[in-house]
Parts: sequence; structure tokens; C-alpha cells
Amino acid sequence: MKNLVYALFLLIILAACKDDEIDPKTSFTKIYDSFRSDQSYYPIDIVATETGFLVLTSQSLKNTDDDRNYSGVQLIELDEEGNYVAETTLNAEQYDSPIGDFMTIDDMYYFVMMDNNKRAQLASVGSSIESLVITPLSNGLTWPLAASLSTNDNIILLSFDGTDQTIISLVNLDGTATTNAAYSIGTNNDIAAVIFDHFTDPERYGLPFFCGQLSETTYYFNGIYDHTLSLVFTNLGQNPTGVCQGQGTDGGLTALLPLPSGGYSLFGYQFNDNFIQPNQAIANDVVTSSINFMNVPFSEYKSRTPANIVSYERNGTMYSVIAAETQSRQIALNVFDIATSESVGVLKIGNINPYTLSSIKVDEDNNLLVLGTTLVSGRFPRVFFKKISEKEMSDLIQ
Amino acid sequence: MIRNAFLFASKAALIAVLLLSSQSVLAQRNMKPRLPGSEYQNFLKTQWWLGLKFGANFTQPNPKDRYSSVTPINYDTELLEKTYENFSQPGVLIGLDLSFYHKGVSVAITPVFKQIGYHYKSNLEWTGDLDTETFETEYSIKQTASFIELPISLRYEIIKQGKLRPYIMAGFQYSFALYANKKTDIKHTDYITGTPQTYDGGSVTVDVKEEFQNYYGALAGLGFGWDVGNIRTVLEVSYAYGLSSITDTDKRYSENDLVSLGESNDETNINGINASLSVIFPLRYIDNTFSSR
Repeated sequence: MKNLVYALFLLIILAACKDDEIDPKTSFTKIYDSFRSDQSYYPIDIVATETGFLVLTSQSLKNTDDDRNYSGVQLIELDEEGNYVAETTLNAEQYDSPIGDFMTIDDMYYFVMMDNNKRAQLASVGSSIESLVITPLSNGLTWPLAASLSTNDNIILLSFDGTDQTIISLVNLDGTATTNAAYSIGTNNDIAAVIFDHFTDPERYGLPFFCGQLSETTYYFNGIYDHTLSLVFTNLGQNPTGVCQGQGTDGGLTALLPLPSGGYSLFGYQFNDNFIQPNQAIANDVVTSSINFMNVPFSEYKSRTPANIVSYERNGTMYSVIAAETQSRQIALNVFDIATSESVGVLKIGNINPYTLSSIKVDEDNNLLVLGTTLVSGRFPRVFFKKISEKEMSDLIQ
Repeated sequence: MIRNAFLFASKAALIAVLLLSSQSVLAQRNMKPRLPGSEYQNFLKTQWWLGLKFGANFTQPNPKDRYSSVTPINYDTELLEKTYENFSQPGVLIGLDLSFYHKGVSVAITPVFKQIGYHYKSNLEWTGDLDTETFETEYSIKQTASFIELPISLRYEIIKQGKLRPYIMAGFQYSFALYANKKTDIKHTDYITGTPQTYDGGSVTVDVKEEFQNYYGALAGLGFGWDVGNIRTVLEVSYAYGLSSITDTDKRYSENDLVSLGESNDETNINGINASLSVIFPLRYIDNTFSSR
């Protein structure tokens, strides 16, 4: 009996000593709500800063005073626990149509947007949104479509000239475009219309524009080229070096991640089907077709879903994390071992209310950041942000 | 679930009473006359008691730090706070009552299976420039959880003689979380037509065991023992005060159905009232000293 009593007391003491406190910065899910029923938020990208996070969102304002055709620009500043700190909404009469991703150089974060004359503008911001600075881009670059960082800290900008050309440029941080290469989208007026529709109704007609750099002289972009949504390889010369064609805008690539081995992790679509290749070779000096990459349609994903791919390293093994939206309006994170192309883990985000995907990122501590929209009460589009800790990622990867 | 537990408790109690009654009848017939006076007094002064305990409980949730996975951009966070109801839902407890009695003081260990329940609500409201842009959502949540609870307490008899022996008690308890689930009823009210229209937004029941953890607390109360033959019936009412949270902080925002709705557990301690009836019998009847021949 005495031993039992001692054991119970010991149990209680141990329980009292149990450290219940964990670092709330480790992992969380947050939904950022506005009391305005006429506001909708469509986040674009998130970046971890020295003091927390910055979220770039396009915002739809549909009140009686606002009849703009394009989405507004909003920045939201969060602390390290994901708590709301501040936000700034740019003057809707001046700026709209923000594009990601955030590009990080030192402790500054850059993104591109459009002014009311359709000219591309470079915005830079530090950890605090109060430090926002806007710089117009030179060389008359208009209708910005996508941007990314080059290896020597220039900005690679994909844009549209408003008539018939897709332009890829290298832009200095002072806004000067040093190199431009223009490629015809085709002469059919309908193909220009799909780009305008991308700006005026991105939810319905948005296209997966993106761009990047493969080597010192080789760049790529996913954009409209020769009447088709194509993955175009270029050395910024007069003609592309290679093209992976889609099928009009009814087929093509949705997301792409160049791998160190020379292959690519990719997510693509062909009409209402979607396909994934964790490690696919794509020749960058010939003309190919994206339909050849569709071995098995992934019927789980919704038609024309946005997708995002990041690389993730754990215990020396490289993985591709491929995120996209499911038919049941969840976000599915599918983790593939790059070496074997095998799926090693799946995580679904969202249950009752619909969830849509904007961006996934890996921070310096190897946590996965997932950004998107959820419809609060099934009705109001609001930004959600989920931070998945490295430990949770380790649990996910089998 | 509660009805089933009550039925189970009732059946168990009935069986226990019948078993103990039969034992006490045998003991009374075989033993009591053989005990000399002094031994009989010793028998009463120092004794082990064992039996069944069953009863009911009502929970008083005690939220500490408030949490929500919804973060307001342009309204007050306090508007998201949940409203808890106290003592709103009966729970059950059933288990063993083991005590060591010596001259009016008992050390009691009463491991029980305990089911608790409580309600809370939260509301969200959105407005626009016009009244017709108003929309409201109400989440009405019924939380149930069950534990294996290990209380250890001291009972001090106020009156040490007679058949009716009132006592006061105090102690600690440690509770192991077994399961938990949350039933959420959603109700929307839409003003878009000019007339508020309330409609059912569905009902979601989610297993939330992962979000709960073991907890401990203190308890104090009073009761009385009533000797009928060789059976002691103990009626006890106690108030339990949770000293640690039942919410697993680590899992607060883990992926589940409710987090995606904006629901997240507050840091909550569990207080409550327990009322129980124990039917116990003396263990020394089976000791060699008092063994029947």
C-alpha cells in the first residue's frame, strides 16, 4: 500500500514538473479574417523575414466606390508566431495586379506589380511594411506576368507588351532593364485575349506563368509563345533555344522545379487532367510537347489547379514537395523522393471549408510554409497560413 | 454515450451490491460472534475497505489563455472568444474505492473511468456598407472527453462512532486522457434578402484525442459513510479543481477538421463537481485472523 501511495505521489510530482510549454513559433495554422463581407483576399506569396513573415496578397474590393478591373495590392506583416502585426493596402487607383514570388536579396524582399498605365513596378520592402519603396521599371515593360531572381541577384521578369510579344528581361534593382528578349505570342487576337483575361479574372482565367534561370546563360519561362502556353528555354537571343509546347491554353505545365541532376520535377495539365513527374528530363534545345509527360492522370486534383513545387532536404536525401488543389477542395502536399521518383508522404490541408493554394516555401530552419485561401463560413475568401515544422515533415516522410 | 454509461453503471452497481451483500451475509454469520470485544474494536479501528464506486459529474471548464486559429485583421480579438457554459452536461464515473482506515482517518485511492462534457459557443459576424451585407455564423460545440482518473485523498471522520459517519476529504488526482471528441453544430444567418434567414450549416463530429492530454488537479469535499450490516455505503460530493490544462499545446494547431474552420482549443483547466456512491466492504474479513472456519 505504501509503495502504491509513493508511486502515486511520484506520478503527481512528475506531472507537475512536465514541461507543457512548447515554442508557439514551431508550427501553427492561422486564418486572417476581415470583418468586411465585401472583401476577398487572394494571397500570392509569403516570405520569412528577420522578425516574422510578409504576405503579399491581391485583394478584391467590390464595394460601391470601387469599380476597378484589376485586383488591388496588399501587404500583411506577421510576427514569428504568425500573429497579425500590420497591413498596408496600396492606393487602388495607382497600383494593382501584384505578382510573386517574393525575391530575397540580403534583408530586402522584392515583388513586382503594375501601375494604372500597365507599367511594371518594382516594390522593395524590409521586415516592416513601412519600409516599402516602389521603383518604376525602365524600357517600358508592361503587363508583368512573373518574376524570379537570377543567380547574380538581378530580377528575371516575364511580361507582355500589350500587343503580341512575351518579353523576358533582366532587371537591376534600380529598375533598369539591362537585357530584353521578345518572343511572339502569335498573331491571333484570341491569344492576346487570354493574357488580358488572366489579369481581369485571375480566379477563372489565370494562367501558370513562371520564369527562372538554369545556368549562367540559359533561362526559361512558362508563358504564351506561338499561340501556345509553352515552357520556353532561351539564352535571351532572338529565338528560343528550345520549347516544350502545351496545347493552346488547354494543356501545358503548371509548375516546374529544376533539379540539381539536370531533370525537373513538374506538374502539368492536359484539358481537365493533371499529371506529375517527380524527375523528368526535358531537352532544352529542341521542340517537345508537354503531353508526352502525362503517363498517368492524377484524378485526385481538380481541373486546372494551381500547383507549386519546392525542394526539401532531410537527412541528406532530396525530395520534391508538390502542392496542388484536390477535387474535394483541399490542398494536397505530395512528397517525392527525387532519386527514386517514389511518393513518400501525402498531407491534406483543409476539411470542411474549401482551401485553395497560393504558395509553398521552405524557410531557413527547414520548416514548410503553406499559403493559400480558405472560405471562412464557406463564403469569405481569407488568407490562411500554415507552418509545418521540420519534425512534422519528418513524420510525414516515410 | 452518457445513457449507455449510466446503464452500465447501474448494472455494475446492482451486481456489486448483490455480490457484497452475499459476502457480508456469510461474514456476519461466520465471523462476528467469534470476535472478542477488544479484537472487534481493533477490527473497526484499523481496516482496509474495498468496493465499487459510481456516480455523476458536472464540469466547469476554466479557460485560461484564449486561442483561435482565426486572426482578426481589423477587429477586436476578444470578439472571437468562446463562451463557456458551466455544469451544462452530466458525465459519469465508475470504478473502485480502496481505502485504508485508521482511527477516523482514511487514505483512499479511487481509480475511476470518468466521462466529462461541456458546451461552448463562438460567433463570427461580417458586415458591409449595407445591412444586407451582414452575415453571421454561430458555432455551438459539445465537447466530451473520458479519462482514467486516479484520485488519492485523505478522509477525516467528523463523527467516529455510530452507523452514520460524516467526513471531510481532500486530495489530488491525476487523469489519463482516453479519448475526446467534439461535436460542432454550425448555424448561419444571412441578411442578404433584407430579412435575416437562419439556416443549418451542418454538424461536424471530430475525434480530438490528439488535442487533449493528461492533467492533474486537487479535490476537496465531504461525504458520509453509512454502515448497513458489514457493508459500508459511502456517499461523497467533491469539487475538483484542475491544476493543469487538458489541452495539448503541441497539438493546438495540428491538422484536423476544426482548425480549418478556425476552431482551436483554449488553454483550459477542468473543474467540476463529482457526486458518487461507493459500496465497500472490509478486506480483513479475508485476513487469517478473521477467516471463517
